[in-house]
Amino acid sequence: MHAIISSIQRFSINDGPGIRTTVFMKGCPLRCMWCQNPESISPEPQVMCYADISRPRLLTWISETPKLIQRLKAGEYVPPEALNGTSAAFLQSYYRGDVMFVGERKSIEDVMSEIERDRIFFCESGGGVTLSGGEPLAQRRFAPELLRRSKQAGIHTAVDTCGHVEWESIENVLPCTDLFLFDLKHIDPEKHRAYTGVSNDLILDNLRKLSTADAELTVSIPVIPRFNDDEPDVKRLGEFLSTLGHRLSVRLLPYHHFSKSKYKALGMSYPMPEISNREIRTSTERVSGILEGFGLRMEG
Amino acid sequence: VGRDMYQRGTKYPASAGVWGLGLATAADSLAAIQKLVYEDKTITLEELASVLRSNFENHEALRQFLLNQMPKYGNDDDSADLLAKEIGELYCREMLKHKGPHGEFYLPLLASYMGHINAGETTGATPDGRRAGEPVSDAASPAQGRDIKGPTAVLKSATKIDYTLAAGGVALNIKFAANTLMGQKGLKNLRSFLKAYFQNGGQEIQVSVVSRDTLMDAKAHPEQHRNLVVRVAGFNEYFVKLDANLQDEIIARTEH
Repeated sequence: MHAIISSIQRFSINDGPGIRTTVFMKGCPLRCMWCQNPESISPEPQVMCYADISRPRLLTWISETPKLIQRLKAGEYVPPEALNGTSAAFLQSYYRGDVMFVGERKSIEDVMSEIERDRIFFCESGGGVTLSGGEPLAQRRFAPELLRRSKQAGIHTAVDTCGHVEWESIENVLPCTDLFLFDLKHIDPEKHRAYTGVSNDLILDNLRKLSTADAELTVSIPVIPRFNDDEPDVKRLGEFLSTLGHRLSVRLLPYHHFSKSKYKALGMSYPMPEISNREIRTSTERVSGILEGFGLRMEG
Repeated sequence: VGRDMYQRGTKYPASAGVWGLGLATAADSLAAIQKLVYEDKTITLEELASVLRSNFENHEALRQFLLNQMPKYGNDDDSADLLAKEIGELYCREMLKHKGPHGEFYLPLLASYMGHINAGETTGATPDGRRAGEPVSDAASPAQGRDIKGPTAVLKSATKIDYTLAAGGVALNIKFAANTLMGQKGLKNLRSFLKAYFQNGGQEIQVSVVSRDTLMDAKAHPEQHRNLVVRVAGFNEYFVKLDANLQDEIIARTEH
């Protein structure tokens, strides 16, 4: 069993309790304008280029030299002296790490053994593994199996989901997931569609169902000034969350634009307007205040 | 008139510590030779030696390959770590065999204060991609900025070495971004991190916080700081990959 993984990050300390290893999977059904992991949106492997070279030319070069690329991916040293000028220049960027391939097809065994590496830190800190992405639950066979094996190995499990999946996909991982980090980007279905590409009907529905399950539940709300911080909207959000029972907690994720360079490296334009840190701070405090007013348990 | 311990003034023989440095530089260099020369056979030992003698002149591509694409100690990768273990333990065992003219013990250290800078000045280019004159790795730490798999991988690598042989002491340097250690949660994670290290054979560690100066240096010399990670929930990116203005923003946020 395989999945396309964009990265595996050890010592993740913001994706659930303790010291964790986060597995970022590629492919997402949403197109959030403020997406912080644009390299995880497409399910396909991609090229990221941080060097100042023409992306179309780079992509052409890659598609025209499959054998060379294969050798590079295998970690082989190809001397640039034997190649023409363009190839030699691209090669140098690759060796420097400024051109890289994101999205590696990995077997479940490989991912498990990578997770196992930090077991001593999980045990000591109450940490474990977090599946993130992209949308991990879009990997309908891989995600449940990885969680099942982790659980069996005595490792705490968390799933960071956008919620826009069939209920069965969530149900399938329920027995082996300790914690859900469930994203809720907007309470209004139309605004949700405008900013993420889909309505939130399925997401709200899944969240209602999930709130009655045994697993621990944290609702993650990205705070995006001017997009989802309108007072009436936040109040509706608070009302909705407060009907889901008292067990869930709420975590606010203030907007940041550190992904800009990743967009550039992927040849994508950055869709968000300039938002100042001051505006983000003010907005986050306001949203937090409103939600606390609904008696919700706020994290952090 | 009293005599000090080095003039046989003490009842028991004195001991002399011997600095150990450049462990990672040595291990990474041998790992590169093993892979490139003996496994892949893409370059001969003579060719590599001549590239090193020329301090990588006209061979920047090869240098970048050696720097960025070869196994490095500090990433929980046996192909470099086991070489570090072999070199470190060999050196310690050898030191322990010898005695000084007055019967002093030589106590091997895997620590070196600032010795790695001086040693680097007189050391030629090395097969790990390091240029002539640049510092070698300090003490038992990974080479500068090459530990790109995060701090847990560093500790996993470091604990593969049997430190009970380093009778003079060990030093392992590790840096965290300030926000990593913030609040109760940050402190708790740091405590767990250190506890796991010592329970698994760790002897000594020096934790410091990434300073504004380090970040400025990383902006100017990305090559030495490839390990700095920007950590936000559900997100990660290496500092050296950020655009200059985003780097400035993070620098501005870091306290003096």
